[in-house]
Amino acid sequence: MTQSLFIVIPAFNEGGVIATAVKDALSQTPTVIVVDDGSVDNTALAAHSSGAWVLRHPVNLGQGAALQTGIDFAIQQGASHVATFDADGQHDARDIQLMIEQMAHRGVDVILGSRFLGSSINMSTHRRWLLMCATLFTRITTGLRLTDTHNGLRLFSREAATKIRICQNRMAHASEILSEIARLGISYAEAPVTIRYTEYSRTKGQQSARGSLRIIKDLLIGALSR
Amino acid sequence: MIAEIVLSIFAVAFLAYHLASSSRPAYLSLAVWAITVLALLTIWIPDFSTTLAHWMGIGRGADMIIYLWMAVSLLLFLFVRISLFRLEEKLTQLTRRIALASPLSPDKSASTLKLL
Repeated sequence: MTQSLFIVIPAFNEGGVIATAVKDALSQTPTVIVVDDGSVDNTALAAHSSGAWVLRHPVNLGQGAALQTGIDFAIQQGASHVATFDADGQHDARDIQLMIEQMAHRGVDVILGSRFLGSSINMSTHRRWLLMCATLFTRITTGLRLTDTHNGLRLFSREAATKIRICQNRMAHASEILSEIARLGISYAEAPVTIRYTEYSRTKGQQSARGSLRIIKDLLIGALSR
Repeated sequence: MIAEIVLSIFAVAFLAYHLASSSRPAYLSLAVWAITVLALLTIWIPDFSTTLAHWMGIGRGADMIIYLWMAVSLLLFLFVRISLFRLEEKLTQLTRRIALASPLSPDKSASTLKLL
């Protein structure tokens, strides 16, 4: 396993599950960064006790902002690869090994995890339809032909991680990352990963129709602000 | 006459507030001048709004004013939202700098960690 692989885990009030996510990530690399996004529970303490670097936002900004903070730190510390990983236990860190192999084999700078190429456990039909709509939206707005456009498990080369800037603080960052890949002409590929939906991850308020509208609104405001 | 004077004061005050602003994009200045001039014309020439409304295909001057006010309000809302987005960007930069200035290594004691 590449020793300069850094895994970035953004976390907000994940004190109950962050230790498991950190330990899973540590099985792949000794350098795991948890960005505590203004949590009011013991997320930072639990992450640190489990063996992660901890960066703390004094106020809650959103998952996108936390990811960029973690990526900036990883680049500062000399990472050759940066993986993004969710704190709620949806991801399996063993998938990162395959993603690294795919990156080397296919000679690309970004590997995007796809649950539709891999597997998804306990995914609801409603979520499946929303993700399909998101895939269509991405294809229309960026031209990228992907099967899974809202997967938090990604692998960036150092070069790609340096070029891509996440300005969308909240959930629109996922679409923004893809827009940046398209805009900057960064090479990419997808790799099969496993996404496990638990009762806990569902209650964290992932994709919903209203959330999707909020993402579109944020993307529009972001575009008008340039 | 009193109403015309009071409304004219509001219109001129609106223009003065804009002129006193430090950042004035050209398109915004043009819009503010246009709104002020149109407002003053509407206030002092009673038939002006009706003539303009007919030219725009609207039946009554009062209706035209309401429609334009709705459009201006929506645009103002959008401008405010964009300003908030830019303010949030500055907040994000500041927050990130604070976070990056004090990373906690897994090798170090967590004694400094406390609830924010």
